[in-house]
Amino acid sequence: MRRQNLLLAVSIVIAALLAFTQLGFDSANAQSAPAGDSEAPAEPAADVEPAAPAAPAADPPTQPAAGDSKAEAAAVRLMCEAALKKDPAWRAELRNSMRAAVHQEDANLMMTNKKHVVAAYTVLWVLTVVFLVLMFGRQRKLTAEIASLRDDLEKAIKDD
Amino acid sequence: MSGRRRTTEGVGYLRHVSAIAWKDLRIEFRSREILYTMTFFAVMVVLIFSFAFLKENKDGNVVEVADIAPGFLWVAVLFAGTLGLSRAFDREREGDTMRGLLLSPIPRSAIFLGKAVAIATFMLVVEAVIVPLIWFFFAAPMFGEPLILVCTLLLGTAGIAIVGSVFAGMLLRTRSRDVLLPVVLYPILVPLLIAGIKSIGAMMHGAPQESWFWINFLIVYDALFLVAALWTFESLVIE
Amino acid sequence: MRRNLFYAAAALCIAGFAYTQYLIFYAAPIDRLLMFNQKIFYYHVPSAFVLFSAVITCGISSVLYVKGRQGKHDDIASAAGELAVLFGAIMLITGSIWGKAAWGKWWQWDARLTTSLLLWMVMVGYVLVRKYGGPGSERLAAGLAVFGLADVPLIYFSVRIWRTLHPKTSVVPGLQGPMRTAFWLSVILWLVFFVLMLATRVGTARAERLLEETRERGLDEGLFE
Repeated sequence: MRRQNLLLAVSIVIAALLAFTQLGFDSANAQSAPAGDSEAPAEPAADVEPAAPAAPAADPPTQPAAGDSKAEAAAVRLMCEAALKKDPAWRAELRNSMRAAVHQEDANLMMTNKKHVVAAYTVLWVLTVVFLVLMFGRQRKLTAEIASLRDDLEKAIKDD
Repeated sequence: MSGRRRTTEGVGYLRHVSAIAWKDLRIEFRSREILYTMTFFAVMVVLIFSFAFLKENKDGNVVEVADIAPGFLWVAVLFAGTLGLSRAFDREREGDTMRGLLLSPIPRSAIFLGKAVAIATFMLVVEAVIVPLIWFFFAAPMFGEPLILVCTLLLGTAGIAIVGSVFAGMLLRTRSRDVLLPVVLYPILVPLLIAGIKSIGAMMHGAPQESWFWINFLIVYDALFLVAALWTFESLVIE
Repeated sequence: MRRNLFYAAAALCIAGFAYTQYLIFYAAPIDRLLMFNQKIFYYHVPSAFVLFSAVITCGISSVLYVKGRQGKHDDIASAAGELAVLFGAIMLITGSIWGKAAWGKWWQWDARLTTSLLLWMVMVGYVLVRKYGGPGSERLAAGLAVFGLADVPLIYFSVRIWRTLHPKTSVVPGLQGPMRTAFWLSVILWLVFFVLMLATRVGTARAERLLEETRERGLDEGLFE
């Protein structure tokens, strides 16, 4: 019995080591890019940022049609930024008014493919439960077999 | 047969192997049942594949085959080989000759090798028919580099024969053996098939260096599984 | 002693499961690129670890069984084989779902997926042989497992080189912080879970074998008709 445990433990350790080093199950690059793009691994979860509210709303730089309005927009922008810096109340108010919308946007974005996660989790449990049910059936068969063996034994003893 | 020591090395061993192989081949040449059925089956597979996978473009020319012809070849060889394997070992079971063989002083591994050689010979005969057929029907450049073609076919066939013989031997007295042979054999053979297909494909595309790479791979595969087969056959085939 | 060990491992598993749930869904940040879908990764990759553990366990105990013909090795091999099929199925299906979400395709013929699929097929063949092979199928299945074990590195290399003739250099995972904790804890959790299931299944297999042996003995002794 000792050897059984040792065997189990050793094989699990070996397997884990192998999987980590050789078999290249790079947790970050878990799946390589589609066939053909051999050298473009999927972006690892390298730079992550906590699910914090978005930074203070900053208008994205507009793409002006003419060169003039570009300079104009830049000037307006500088003015706004200066005003914001001077008046923290206004800044807070602006942030607050935008907060909910930005939150919602970000939350929706983060929750993309929520269905898939749920589906994958479900699959996991369904398969495990199916396996357990099969094992249970086996157990029952075993019990029946023991009962029949016991019966045969008693019959044999009685015959003696 | 008496007086021959049970040896696993030297000329004596090879003589055992060739005795077994020769026995099988002689039996087969008398009736030629396996040869004919295997060959016919392989030809039908190639034809069916051509119906399934080839298409003609506007000018009535067949689509570029250098990409799929190697696949035709190896799948046909594989299917025919499976047929031959189960039939060859069936024969042993029907005549109950396996027991006789196992009781003789010949080492078990020699029995296995002899049968593998015989099966390989049958498969090579089938390939000798299929390869020109593919060349003929699909104008596939099969004979661009004959050395590569021969090496690949020999090594690939040897691999299928070795692994197939072990499993067919183990399945000899098993229920559902006809269905179980492909079930156990094909996943194990996949690397061999990849190597064989890639090798012939590379040859057709004019990249012989790649072919030689895959041929080396086949050598490794054959060596590895020859060792595994010799070891398991000794222990696992007892009937 | 073994029973206590089992209960301890089970308790560990429960605690681990609860804790990793928390870690995965609350502590580990959302991945910037893959968003929420990336959470699948925390149980997809560990199930791959478990698949390989199961295959290696099955292979090694099959080798031991071929050499020594001891029933207990066969028990472990059959249990590990079935678990390999289970966890392999989990790995393949969750991976496929992830792939669909992340790249819009259910399946790709790249090296890793093909390797895993083939390995899984070998184990399915193993289970089929055990189930339908009739008497004496343990030896055949053991032989298959031995061949399968030998085949694993070959499958890996042939498929990998098939897909890209220039071998890739694998990049050491660059996980940081809570993601890393969640991941490795998940791996450990799953491995412990695997050991639990293995121990249970081995118990059943052993009981079946002992029962059959007992019946054989009874028949030998002339007790039963």
